[in-house]
Order: sequence, then C-alpha cells, then structure tokens
Amino acid sequence: METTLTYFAYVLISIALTAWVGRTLHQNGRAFLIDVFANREDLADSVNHLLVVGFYLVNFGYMSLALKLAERVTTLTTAVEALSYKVGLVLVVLGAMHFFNLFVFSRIRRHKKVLEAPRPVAPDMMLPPLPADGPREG
Amino acid sequence: MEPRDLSLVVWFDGDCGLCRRIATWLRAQETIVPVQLVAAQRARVAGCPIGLESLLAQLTVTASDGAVYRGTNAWIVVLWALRNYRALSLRFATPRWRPWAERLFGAIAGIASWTKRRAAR
Repeated sequence: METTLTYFAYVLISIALTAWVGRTLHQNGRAFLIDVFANREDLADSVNHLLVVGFYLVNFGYMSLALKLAERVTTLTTAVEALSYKVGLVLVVLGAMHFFNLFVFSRIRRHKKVLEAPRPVAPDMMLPPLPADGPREG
Repeated sequence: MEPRDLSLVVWFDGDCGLCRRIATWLRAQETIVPVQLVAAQRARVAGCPIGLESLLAQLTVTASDGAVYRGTNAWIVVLWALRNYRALSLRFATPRWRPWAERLFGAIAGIASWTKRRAAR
C-alpha cells in the first residue's frame, strides 16, 4: 500500500515538474526563435511546439522507466527517501534537457549570426566600383 | 549591411601550381557571395585596374563595390564568401587569431613562391 502511494506521489510530482519546465521553455523560447527565424512567427511557433513535444516525450518516457522501486517501502521515512531519490533523478534529467535545449537554441542563433555577418576586414584600398557584369572574359 | 549584388574576384597567380590547386578547390566550394577566380596574368584583358606586378606580389581580391583586399585580408574575405568557412573567417579576423592567420597565409604564400621559383629553374 505504501509503495503504491509513493508511486502515486512520484507520478504527480514528476508530471507537475515536467509541465512547469515545459511551459517555461515554451513561453521563453518563443522570443528567441522569432529572432532566429527572421520574424517568421508561424515558423518560430511551429519549431517551438515541436521542441516542447520532444521535451515532454523524453521526460515522461524517463519518468515511466524510472518509476519502479527496488525495494518495498514500509515506513514513512523510507517512503520519503525513495520519493526524494526518484524525484531528484527526474530533476537532474529535466535540468540536463533544459540546458540541452538552450544549447540547441544558441547554436541555431549563432549559426544565423555567422551567415549574416558583414565582411570582417576593412578594405586595403577603394577603387571605383567594377562594372556590374564583372571582369571581362578575355 | 552588404550590397545585395556583392561579388568577389580573386586574382590568383596562374603560373603557380599551388595557386591553381587552391583556385580549383575554391571553385568547388559552396559560396554565399559569388566568387570568380581569374588568373592575374589575364588582369589587363579582364579590365582590372591593378597592375600585374602588384597582383603577383600579394594575393588580391577585388569586390564589386570597389573594395580591394590584399594578403591576409584577401584570404579572410574569400573564406568569408564560403558558406562552410565564414565562421572560420570571422575568427581569423579577431585580434586574438589575426597573428595566426598572418602566419598561416604568409606560409602558404612562401610555399607558393618557393615552388614557383623551383619549377622555373
């Protein structure tokens, strides 16, 4: 009975935590993605949503896999210990996922900044602009 | 902001084996800004206002907006035009990496002129 109650508490806490982190990502990632996708809001929202879905899948998957306790819970103390251990693992996985997401965001953003960068060096001299058709074929 | 129709011309030494190899490699790269490779020996017929002597002394890149880049600057601007090397180009242009870029491209220029002189003997 106590074991089942512990499972129940674990599932509730994990779902709440995952939902909280997922919502945070969804709300705060949006502005970032809109910048990355050159103000294409539809595209940013779509990528944002897809990222959050992946995030939920990985976390709920991990939560289910990690549910089973190795030993029966008999007292309140062991219940708290088991619960804190399992929730701790979920938190660490959530944290790792969160940083991974940030990493992906910043990579996308940096890549875009690089592609838009102007020439990084100043000219050594200036000539009148060349004709638009480029060098003559000789 | 860069002009929308910006393009580059690289004036390489057509009498130098290494330079021709590098030109061949450059032609195969995916570019963000169009890059044309023209042998410096054809500069006069191609309408380049810079003299051959000067073009052979240092790698020269001319941009369609009139900017001229020489030596290490020219290398950095060419890398900047390539999709897969723009990040490297930006790095080479930073104060921290610039001295290494000078050494690297200086060494390439040294090898190029050495092999050219050797082949001429």
